[in-house]
Amino acid sequence: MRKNLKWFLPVLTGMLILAAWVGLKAGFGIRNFVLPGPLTILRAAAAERTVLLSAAEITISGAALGFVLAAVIGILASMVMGLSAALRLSLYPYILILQMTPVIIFAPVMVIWLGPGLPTVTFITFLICFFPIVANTTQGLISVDKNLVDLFRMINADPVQEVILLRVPHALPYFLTGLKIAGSIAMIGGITGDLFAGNASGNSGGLGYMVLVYEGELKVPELWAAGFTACFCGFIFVSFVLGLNWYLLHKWHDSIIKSDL
Amino acid sequence: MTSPLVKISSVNKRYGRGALILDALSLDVAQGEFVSLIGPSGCGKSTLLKLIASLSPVTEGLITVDEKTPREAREEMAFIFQEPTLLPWRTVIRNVELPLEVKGMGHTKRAGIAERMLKLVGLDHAMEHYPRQLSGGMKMRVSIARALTLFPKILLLDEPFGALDEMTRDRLNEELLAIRLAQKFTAFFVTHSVAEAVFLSSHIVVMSANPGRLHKTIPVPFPYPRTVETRESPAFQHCVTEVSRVLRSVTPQTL
Amino acid sequence: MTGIHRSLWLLPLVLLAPGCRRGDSTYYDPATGRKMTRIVLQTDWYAEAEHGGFYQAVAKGYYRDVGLDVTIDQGGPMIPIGLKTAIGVVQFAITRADESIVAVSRGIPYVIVGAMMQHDPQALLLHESNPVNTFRDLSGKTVMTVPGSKWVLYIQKVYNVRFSIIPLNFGMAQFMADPNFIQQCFVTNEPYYVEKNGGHPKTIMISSTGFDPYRVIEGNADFVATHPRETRAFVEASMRGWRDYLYGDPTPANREISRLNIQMKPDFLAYALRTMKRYRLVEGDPAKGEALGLVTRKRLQEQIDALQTIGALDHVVTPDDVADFKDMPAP
Repeated sequence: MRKNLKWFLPVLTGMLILAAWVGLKAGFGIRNFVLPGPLTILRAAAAERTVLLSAAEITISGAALGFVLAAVIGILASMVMGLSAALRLSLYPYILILQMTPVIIFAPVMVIWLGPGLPTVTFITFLICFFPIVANTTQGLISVDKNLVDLFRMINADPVQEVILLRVPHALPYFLTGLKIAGSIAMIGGITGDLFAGNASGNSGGLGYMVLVYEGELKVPELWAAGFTACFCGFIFVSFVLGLNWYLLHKWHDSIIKSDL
Repeated sequence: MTSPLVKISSVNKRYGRGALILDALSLDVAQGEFVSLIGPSGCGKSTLLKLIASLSPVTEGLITVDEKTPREAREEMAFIFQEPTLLPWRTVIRNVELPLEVKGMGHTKRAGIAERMLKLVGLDHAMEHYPRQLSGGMKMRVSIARALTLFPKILLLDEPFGALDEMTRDRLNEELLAIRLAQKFTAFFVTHSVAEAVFLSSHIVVMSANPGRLHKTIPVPFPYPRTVETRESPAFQHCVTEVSRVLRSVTPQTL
Repeated sequence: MTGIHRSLWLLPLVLLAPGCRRGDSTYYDPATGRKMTRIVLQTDWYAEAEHGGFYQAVAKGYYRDVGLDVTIDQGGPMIPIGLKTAIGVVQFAITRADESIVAVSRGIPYVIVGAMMQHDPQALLLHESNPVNTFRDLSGKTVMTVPGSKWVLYIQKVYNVRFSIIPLNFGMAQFMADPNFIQQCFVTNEPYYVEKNGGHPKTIMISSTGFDPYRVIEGNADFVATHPRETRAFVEASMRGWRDYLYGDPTPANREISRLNIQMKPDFLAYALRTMKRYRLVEGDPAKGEALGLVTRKRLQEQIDALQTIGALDHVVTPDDVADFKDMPAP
């Protein structure tokens, strides 16, 4: 019974939400261009499926590239800052500033420097995904239990051994946390990139581009369909990271113990 | 009379410009002794352990270990912390192998030694388990096995059994003595439990606090090997009472 | 970003709109004892010379003369203009005829009530040195324009001219930095800034492609149906304002425009007005039967046909579906 509850509760809630949605629409007589009904959205999605699919492909490629770049450069930056207090103190504030500056300020500049399309979309996604990865991974590298560090001193480990055998494995769960966060916002980077960098020709482009097109024509059901498509793509990223997380951690990490429910 | 294995001469310890933690502490420990350090909170017993281990530097005074500085003698010492300090991402046997791996020993050789040590602590059946699958007592045993892989001359233990229940603690005390019989190490043992100190030690060092000073060294007259029966003997209880009295005399009465 | 943010406007609008119409209410003016109807006009951008006639009509009281208390809501990059008009939060809006037609074909309750400009001021802005001179030369290039623009689809279909698109972001930085950059603009607007900053611009009018929609006043269909007198009065007064802005003294309007939008310096407003007159955007060419405010079935049909060609219409519509001719003032 308890095992079924895990599925039953969310599904029930989903059905209640759907019912409320349809009810609200009918009750207040809300028109489709204000709040489309779930069926209308599905129909719009079906009608637009080729467009949405190719748009999703375009956005995902930019987002994926930016995400991977953020992971790779994030790891490198974390290593640098995790292992040198001096560099950490020097660089961290600027990384923070990078994070705090709204991406929309960078975006037009990027289009000038990097050119429209994939390069800019990749870079914008990179900017969005970089900080969570760096912040978490660096934390993982420096937050090792003091006793463990003392242990390594006692067994006369050299600094390289300490990094490879102690700090890096310790940082792995932290890194994966950062990756999880980055994965959930990578699509936002991709879509934001679309909005500024186009990545489009004629009448089609990435999902962000399609959002602008639909929005300009008040094609609201199609707009929602694009929104859900983006959400679904986000899930692809998150699932990938969750899978990676399970694969790397399931043997030894507490985060992957079966719950009591 | 052979020279002492560990010689602590007039050691002062201060952190930065802070208060004096240890004040002119002098202690000689001969090879084969089992020395417990007990005292009220803040007497610096754990700090003393760290100084001997070379994990912290002496402010004034001198410590020699086997006629070398503590730093030079690291290879002959092993430290067992309050927490088991196992690497959660490694299996039990890979944890035990760690000191040998760091030294550069080959794979088969170190696996062999690690397995032997695990047998010694009775955990060879759990070789491929991960730390999170083990109980507190088992993790401590792994920690001990790991410490023994380098065949240390000196074992430094900082309240290793403090977090365990009394039954487990008593068992581990007995196991520790059994291992000592086989491995013949000299031990420094920090504890809050007088009974534990009396059971394990050849000498009990009582320290006073603020600043940490050596108050009294009490020899423990029971021969080794010591067993469960030793614990139940009236002489044992008498010794515990005596040591407790001394401890109480250096413990501040106000709460 | 823009799209998603605009969709977020839905919720408060949905919840507040029914109760909170600023327009479409009436009161009695204590000074004249006259019944006044509140009207909100939604423009498509921040206050600019291209809205001059309306601001003139407000400034000189032409609306008040006919019992209308008109407020002008400025548009902007984040404003959901179409939505506000469709829901009825505003009664009238400025838009392009093709946008209005497409919306009507999808069942959105708009109706065209008059023309603001006979010709669209949209153009492509290029540097003089750019080898591109006509829209046919755009093949294979990159153009910064509004995503989903119909003229793009039109020349793709009719002339087989294809190019890549960057979404329009209304800034000039990219254009100034890149001599080959091509950006959509208003012929009355951006070229001024380029010259001011030492550049040498040239323009290609989008209407040269044959895609040449009116700039119209559209109204919320329910409001227009229930307020024919007010609609006609509004359009007439607006045209009066436009005539005055073009041929009379535009100062009252310009003062208001500058007050609302600090970017509108007198120099620039004069340039815009001059350019509007030069290209005869507002009043059109009388020889072709064009006139200020005039909407003809013939031209609307041409627009509908153009939109049909590119498959932009959900249903076929006729000019009468799209515009309310009976309430248009006589030319």
